[in-house]
Amino acid sequence: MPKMIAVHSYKGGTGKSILATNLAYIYASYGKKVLLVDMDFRAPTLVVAFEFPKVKKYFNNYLNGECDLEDTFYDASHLVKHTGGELKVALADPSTEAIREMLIKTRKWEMDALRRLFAMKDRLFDELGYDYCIIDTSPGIHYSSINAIVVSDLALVVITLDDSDMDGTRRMIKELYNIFERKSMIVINKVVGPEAGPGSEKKKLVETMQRMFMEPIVGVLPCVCELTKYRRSRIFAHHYPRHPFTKAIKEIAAKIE
Amino acid sequence: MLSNKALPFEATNQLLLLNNLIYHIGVIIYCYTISYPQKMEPRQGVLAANREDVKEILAKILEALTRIEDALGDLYCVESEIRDILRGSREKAGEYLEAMKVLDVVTLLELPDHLRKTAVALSKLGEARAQDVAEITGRERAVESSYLNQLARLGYVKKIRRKHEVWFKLA
Repeated sequence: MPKMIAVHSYKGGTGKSILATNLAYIYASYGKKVLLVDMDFRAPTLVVAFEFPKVKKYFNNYLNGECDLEDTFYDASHLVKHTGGELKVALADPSTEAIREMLIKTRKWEMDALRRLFAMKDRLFDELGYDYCIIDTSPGIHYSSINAIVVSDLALVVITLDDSDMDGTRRMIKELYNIFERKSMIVINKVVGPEAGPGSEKKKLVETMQRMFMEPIVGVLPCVCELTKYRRSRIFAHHYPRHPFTKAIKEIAAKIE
Repeated sequence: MLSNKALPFEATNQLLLLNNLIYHIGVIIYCYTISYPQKMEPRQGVLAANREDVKEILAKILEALTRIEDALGDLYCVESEIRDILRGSREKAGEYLEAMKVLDVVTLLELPDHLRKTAVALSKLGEARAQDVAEITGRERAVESSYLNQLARLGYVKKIRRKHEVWFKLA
């Protein structure tokens, strides 16, 4: 069954974009038709990750009603050739002017944007035959991220073991996801020490977090120093298919599926 | 409190007319003052006052009229400013009221649970009948009809009658 997944977090810098990008890549490498959308309009990231040579239309333009949905798609299927999969990417406009413009949108615009997102979902799954749409959102409770959560089938929440992050996430689940009856799953990122390993410590961490959030923990991602060494333009799972980080994301992909 | 009634549009016109009238009287007096010595000899009726006295009196009148004209000009500016402020307030109030009625995600968060479900379904459809909303929410058509009417009364939704059907659309 096709799924729209909003990758969200309470705080910034938790690893949402890396998870969203690699998750999209993994599903596409399994032969699925995937669309990855950058809806972090305040700090667009995917434009750097994919480095498409000429971008004429951004996802902002679709939400503004300035172009058709497919005009914003850029093809990254060459990354998954021979798998039968398809990976398209819709980018957020990284220009300062566009970021500023998105910050001052009216409530009426946000309402129209929500309607366009619903229309996008219908078009992707009912007409274009997509299997997955993965949305990289802005952190925290922000218009665009709430819109993405309302329209998605699942909110994949990325947390770190930082106290303020965990506290904020708990409130966000209670005051946002639950209100919209949105199913959510949690990924713990940047875990260090034995809790990141395969032993009982990891199991204990998962149990504790599950009790705290009352939502399923679908992944524990180790803190990988190499990630910071490599340019974002290198899709980690593509270049390091056997790395423990890639394996952990594959496990998450399987649990969501 | 200031209101539009305190400064009706007619008042502005009257001020302008008075302003013009005073200006023209002033011009006539000024011309008369300048030309009088050359063109006319003082009539006997100008009584005992000599030519210099008349010139002085007329100059004083002209000065007074100029002051009145300036004051009226100032008054007109103030009135114009007040009108702008009132117009701005009305627009801001209008925008605020408009914003209050938008069914965005923040408004959705504030709605009671039963209405939120209906509102989210209508956000998806844009425009729908109670039956269409019921198909998404899985509730009875009559229930959705009642909730849609509640949203319409709250001003979030517009109710449109088309032949024998009632449609609802986002305001």
